[in-house]
Amino acid sequence: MIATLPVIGARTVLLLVAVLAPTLFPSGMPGRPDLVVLVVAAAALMHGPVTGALVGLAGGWLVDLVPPGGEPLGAGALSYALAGALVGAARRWAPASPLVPWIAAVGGAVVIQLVRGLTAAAGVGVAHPVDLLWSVAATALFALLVLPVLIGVERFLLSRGWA
Amino acid sequence: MTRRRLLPRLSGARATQVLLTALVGLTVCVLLVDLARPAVTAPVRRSAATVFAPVQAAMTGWTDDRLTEVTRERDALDARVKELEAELRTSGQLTELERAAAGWGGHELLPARVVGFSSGSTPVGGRTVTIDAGELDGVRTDQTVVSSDGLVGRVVRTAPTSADVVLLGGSDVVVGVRFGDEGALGSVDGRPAPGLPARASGQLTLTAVGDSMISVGDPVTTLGSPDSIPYVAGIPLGTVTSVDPDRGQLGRTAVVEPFVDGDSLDLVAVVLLGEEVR
Repeated sequence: MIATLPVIGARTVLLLVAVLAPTLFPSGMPGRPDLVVLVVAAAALMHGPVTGALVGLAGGWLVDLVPPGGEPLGAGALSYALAGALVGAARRWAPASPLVPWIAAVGGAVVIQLVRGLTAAAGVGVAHPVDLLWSVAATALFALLVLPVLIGVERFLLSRGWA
Repeated sequence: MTRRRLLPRLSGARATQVLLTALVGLTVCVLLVDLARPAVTAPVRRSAATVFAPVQAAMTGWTDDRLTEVTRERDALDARVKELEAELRTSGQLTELERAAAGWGGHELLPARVVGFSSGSTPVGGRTVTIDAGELDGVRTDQTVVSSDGLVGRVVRTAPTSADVVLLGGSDVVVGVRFGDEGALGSVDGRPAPGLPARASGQLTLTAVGDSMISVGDPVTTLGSPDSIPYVAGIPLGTVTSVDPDRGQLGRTAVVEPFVDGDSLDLVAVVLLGEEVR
């Protein structure tokens, strides 16, 4: 299924907002929620692993490029693509319970922080386990509020026949 | 001609898979190029910074002072008071900065505001922030960045209107320091050497050069670099909070609590050096 222009536009706007919104967060928050993974998870839950990976790739590229960006260029894109593909794989269980999308999205956030923790353990970069846990906790909290809205947007796009 | 016939034959789902494979392949290529030759991908980062930094700066300075028509007047006054309070705070910080700078050889300080924090979700964990001053303001790579509390870090990348600053404790950030009353030499690192006790988030590791003793409460200041690039000498960095037990490491090591909290940075200053070096 090739996404149409309105879908690409809507997701680009959502991803841009998700990447730029942390600028507005008050400084000194213990964990910064990862909003990008929620946008990726919403798309992945509605359309499956391939679309999830594509949206993840786009979101990760934005995370890598928006200053101060990520190091090296493209690593964030690959890690978000992996998270998108894995969340998309959980789509088949989505009808089982309304909690499944939330669990899948938090799982995506865990995957991303796990990659970060593993590279740090391998000696590249600095990541404290406590910070990683806080980030997942903040993302899980935000997912309760934001994920239903994002899935609603995806449903709307689907109902208009654009996706 | 053959290409034209090949494309329409792909079904929708298959085409998406091909697109995904191609894009992932492209991303891997860019990643490898960035690892091998960072200079090649620098223009990409630069153009992204040129586009996004003004947006981030605008979002940081955004104030909501017109909520409804009815309370517009009250809100306007409220905003004015807040603005004046913020100005007062800024001027207080600037005065402190200038007082602290007097000891750093009287370099000119360029005030800047932190507009972006590094995402906590990139695979390689780093501690970088973006400030709203760039090449147009005279910021160059490797200049020192300070706040009223002490050393913040150094500039790693510049764009026309923004610059990226790597904070203390970031990956591969090692600062030469003097510590204690006698000014013994050492280095401060964000990552403890293998075998040392685990550090809490934000704590740094001081390694003494030679046989000098470290004691709790020792002040740590920067040693400085030739031509003050990348670090200007004598900037307060932190204090020693505990000394590691001797486990046969080469130099004595200790835990340093930095003065600057990287998570709540707001107003910082770039130390502009006398003339353009390099």
